[in-house]
Amino acid sequence: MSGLWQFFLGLRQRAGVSIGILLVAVVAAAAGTLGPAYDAAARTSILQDGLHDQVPIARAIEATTGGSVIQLASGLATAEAQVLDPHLGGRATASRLFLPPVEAVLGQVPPPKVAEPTGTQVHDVPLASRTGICAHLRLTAGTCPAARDQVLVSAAYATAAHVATGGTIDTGRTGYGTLHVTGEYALPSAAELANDPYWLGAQCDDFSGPCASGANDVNGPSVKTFDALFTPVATFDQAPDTIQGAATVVLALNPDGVRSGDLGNLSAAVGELTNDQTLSSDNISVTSSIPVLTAQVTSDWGSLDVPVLVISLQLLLLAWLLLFLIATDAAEARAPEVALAKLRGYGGVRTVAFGISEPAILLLISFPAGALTGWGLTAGLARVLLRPGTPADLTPLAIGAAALSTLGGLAAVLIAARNTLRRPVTAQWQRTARDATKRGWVLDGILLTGAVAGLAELLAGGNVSSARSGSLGLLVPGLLGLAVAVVASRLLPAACAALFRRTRRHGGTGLFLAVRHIARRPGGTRTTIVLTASFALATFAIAAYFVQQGNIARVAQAQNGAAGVMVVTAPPGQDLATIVGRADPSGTQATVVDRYTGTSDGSQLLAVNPAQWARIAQWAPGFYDGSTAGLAKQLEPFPPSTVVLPARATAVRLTAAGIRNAPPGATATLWMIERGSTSGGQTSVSLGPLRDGTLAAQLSDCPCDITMLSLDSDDVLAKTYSGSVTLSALATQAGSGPWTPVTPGLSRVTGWGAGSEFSEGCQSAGSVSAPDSALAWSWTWGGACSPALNRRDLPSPVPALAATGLTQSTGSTYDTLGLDGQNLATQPIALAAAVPGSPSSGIVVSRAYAQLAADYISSGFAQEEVWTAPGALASVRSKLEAAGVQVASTTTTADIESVLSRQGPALASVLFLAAAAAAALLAGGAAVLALYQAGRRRRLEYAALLAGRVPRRALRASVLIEQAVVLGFGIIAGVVAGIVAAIIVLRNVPEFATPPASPPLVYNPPAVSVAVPLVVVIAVLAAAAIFAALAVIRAARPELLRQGQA
Amino acid sequence: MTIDEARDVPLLEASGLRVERGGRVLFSAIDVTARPGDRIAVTGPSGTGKTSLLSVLAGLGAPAAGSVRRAGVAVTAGRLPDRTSAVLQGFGLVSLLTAAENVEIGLRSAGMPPRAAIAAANEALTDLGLGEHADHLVQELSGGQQQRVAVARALASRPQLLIADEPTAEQDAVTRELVLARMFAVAAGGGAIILATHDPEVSARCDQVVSLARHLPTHA
Repeated sequence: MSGLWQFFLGLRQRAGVSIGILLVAVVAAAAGTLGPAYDAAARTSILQDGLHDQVPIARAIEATTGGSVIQLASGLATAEAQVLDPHLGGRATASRLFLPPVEAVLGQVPPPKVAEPTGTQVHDVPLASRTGICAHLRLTAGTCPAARDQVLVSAAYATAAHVATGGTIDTGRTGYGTLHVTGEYALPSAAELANDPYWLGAQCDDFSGPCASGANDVNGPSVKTFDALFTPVATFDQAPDTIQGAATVVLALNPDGVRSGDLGNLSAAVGELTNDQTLSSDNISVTSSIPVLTAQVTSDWGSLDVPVLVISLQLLLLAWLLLFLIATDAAEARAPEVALAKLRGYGGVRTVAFGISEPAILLLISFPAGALTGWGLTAGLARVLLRPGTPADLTPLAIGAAALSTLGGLAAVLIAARNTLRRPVTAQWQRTARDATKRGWVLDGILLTGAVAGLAELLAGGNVSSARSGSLGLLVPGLLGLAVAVVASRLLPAACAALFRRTRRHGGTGLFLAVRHIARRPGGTRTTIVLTASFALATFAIAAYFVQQGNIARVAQAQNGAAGVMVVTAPPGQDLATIVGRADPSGTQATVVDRYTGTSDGSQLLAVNPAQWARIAQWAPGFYDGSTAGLAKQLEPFPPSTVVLPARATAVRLTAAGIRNAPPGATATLWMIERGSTSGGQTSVSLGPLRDGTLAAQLSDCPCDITMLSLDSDDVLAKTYSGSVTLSALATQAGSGPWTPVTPGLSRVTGWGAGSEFSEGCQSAGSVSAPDSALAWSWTWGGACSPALNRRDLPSPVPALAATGLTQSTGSTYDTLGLDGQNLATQPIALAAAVPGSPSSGIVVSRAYAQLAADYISSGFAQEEVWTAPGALASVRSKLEAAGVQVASTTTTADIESVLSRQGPALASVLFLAAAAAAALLAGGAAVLALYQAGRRRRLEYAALLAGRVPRRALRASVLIEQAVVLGFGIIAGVVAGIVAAIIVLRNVPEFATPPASPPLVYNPPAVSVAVPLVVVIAVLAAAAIFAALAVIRAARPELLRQGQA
Repeated sequence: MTIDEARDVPLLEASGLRVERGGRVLFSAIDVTARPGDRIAVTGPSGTGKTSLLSVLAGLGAPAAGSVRRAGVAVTAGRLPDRTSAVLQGFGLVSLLTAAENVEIGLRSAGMPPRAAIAAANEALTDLGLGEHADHLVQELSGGQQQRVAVARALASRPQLLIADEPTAEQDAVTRELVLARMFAVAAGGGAIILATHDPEVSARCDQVVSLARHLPTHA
């Protein structure tokens, strides 16, 4: 009890040092805890991000087979489980890792007998069973099929086949017999199909649409597909064994069931499954991207682990160094008691125990306190930075690290106290100081050698100032800071000593005293080492953080293209741009972008409204050097000069005159694009024989853009005809209404050109002129090449903005694929280092040109998007949905920033920032405390000076100058070292799990952003220093001298 | 004013002094008057309040009762009166200054120009046999040398009244004589010296002796 009382008395007597030791020891233990605990939490967050943010196919195993439909899927699932389960460690683990398997069987029944246009290829109707289908479909009529031969049909099928709930479907000779319709279902939304792993593969197998087999073949014939008839698996299991079908089993990972420790086994098991020879020989094909996913997550972990370790070690080393410095002061403060203990006959071990008992007990207290603090910090960081819901556990490794930190602290205390403990009793009370101002070189030598050797190793290893990227570069600021600190701590006393002569002859007493105290205080400038090193780290960390945040913002802006991007599907037959135009009449909040992604070279065509796109797309500095408004004009130098036959037109006519030298039997055909067509493409109407007078044809489904007027002959011409005709008076009629002229129709030559109906193998010859508001067309017609009057509505090649990742030159033609998947010749008129929406592979053209060039055909690889300005996403979305637009997905720039910010390098950067800021504050606090302690030890000297008529203000100035110089010098040296480190090494430090090819990243630290937090920290330290200085001088009172203590 | 006339004006006049410490009366009803040329010794066993009495006389502390007047002016506690120097028991030196700097700082604070202060400091230290130690940090000097630095600092400002607390306690016989000679020179020059000492030889060389006896425990 008395020992404990003595301990508390000692703590009270040496409160400043005791608090310092406790604080630093807590930070050391917290640093030890924080690293592993944060790493574990961040790993979980990265894993969960990796699992949740992937499209379903990236986290699923898809096994397929074919054969007799009887128990085809269940057999496949069993075979799959037999291979997978043992590698995963049993069924229980497999059940935890994966969602319940979705077993699907696919057969076919004949299509309903429906009249289709000639040449249309009508596909069979899929008959499908899918595990738990009724839980995933919305029934619009009837009930879920529960027994063999019962089916659900889609509303579209019901309409097409004229069948309703309660009706039957004859499957002819397929063997399925008659199917009984129990209900109708509504198609899942595009978003459900894209994002719910249940529907993996269903979009193409079960539902009609662009993904359905054959629908994408723009060169093929028209295709008619139907939605699946869903039936219970009993329909297949009880079918004749001669019926063949396909089965698919989809095993999708359950993100919430996967833990960090599962990844190795999971990857190996899936690898075994996909390569299993037995399954292959049984005609079972297994595909999965899970190994890719796990490799990606593991790689991201790797980008986190190394920096976390490096950062934690740096903070730990700094804390130990601080502890050593403070413990040295503490040991000195206790030196007389230690000497007394020796006089009382304490042995060596007992003296050591007595001498370090206070710091040892403080360290013991700091262990749980630090571990809990580190845990709390981890929880705080996890809440702010990591994926919502990520647990922050106090792992055994974290506790062990805290214990190790504490043991390291104990070692630092022992080393710090060794001089005091070994000092002879007589030396303790000698009035003459033992080593006066002499300062050992051993510690400095070790630190400097270590720092320089480390820097040399990093330089030789290519981690600095080279293209190599690696987290070891994070050691540079610490090492550089340390090297600068050691040198600076030697320079400061030397610089002050250089002022001795001057301050002795000039200036006030304050400066006179201050420079001498700084220069001569034994070990005093060691605080400069810690201060400089920690501020180097802090400055670098702040610079790195802001540079990374800036680059994350740049990448997010470039990748998303706009503040908000929706992938949408317009209602059939409606132009998305028109709907968006109604939703945003100003054209400043939303714009349509058609994206074609089916190229083999990875380029992406972005078809845009140039003016709107230039306004709404996100342009960060360095993306594009020119004026975006000017760019918009270059992309669409003139609006497409289409000749449009209006909506509701039912007939078209024109006048032909002066026909000369036409082959016998020549006919005229008018070609056009029906804008309302769901599939786009050209359609034609015959104007009948070519003759002088009015040529007319019936129309439907307009508005239509005229693309061509061709002349045809039933025969291959034996000779060449050079003839001509004058065309005029293009007009349309709606129903029985009056004929309305089409403007500009055939009155101007602009946009019209003489050519041939089919360009392949035919030389176009002929000319067009426009005398007297009519079009005079002359041709040369021979062989099988029919002449045509082509509508040329757009420039060729189409002007484009190209990413520098695609081409480095403007002026030459760049061939890509248009919205129809066909070749589109473009001419880059400008280059962008980063194209918004497709940074390194985007090629941007006018949407109007692209649609015309594609004859309004949209390939299955073309995706319609609506880009929105900041803050406009919600309102635009609601308006679009109200207009019938289906929104499949929405991505905001903030979403991408959030994801990028949760990657390993970004998480490590924040940890570095937090650790370095803590280190800077701690080091600054320790420096202030050390200066305060030194001042307190001098209070009797100050009292004597006061008594000797030295003005109090001079003493105050002396202490303030000392604080300012020591702190200022250390901080400035540290900040400079940090900035230098940032300049030379930031480009080597990874900022992303996978470095983006574009946009170009910026590594210049933003001056203001870096300065503000530093100024705040410095201001806090300055306030503490001033407070401490004033307290020191206030404590110096001449009355102290009366007690004879001086 | 002649010397005789000057002697009529006390350099220091303390009357009815009572000092307490920790509620215990150290001494009471002490009168001290120092006139030009006076050499006054304060003696008494340890703990009788010699240092406290000197502190009160030097203005470094306030008495519980009584008054101290320096050249007719009441002494303000917390500051040495003008033309008064003190050699404190703990010397009151700044450990990280050299011997010369310790002397200079006092002179500079008294308004002496820096160059003159340097010269005066060197002279004072040389007078006390510390010329070759002038540029040594005081914490590198022995206790006796540090004490002489303190004496040099006190003498360098050429005080009219010198108050010294056992100024020869750490001196050998030779340096003791040197120190005493320099200090008594203040009195010889028309000033006065009040010193506390345990050394009977030193007190024997003084004109007056204020002897403090151990008080019975009496609480104020």
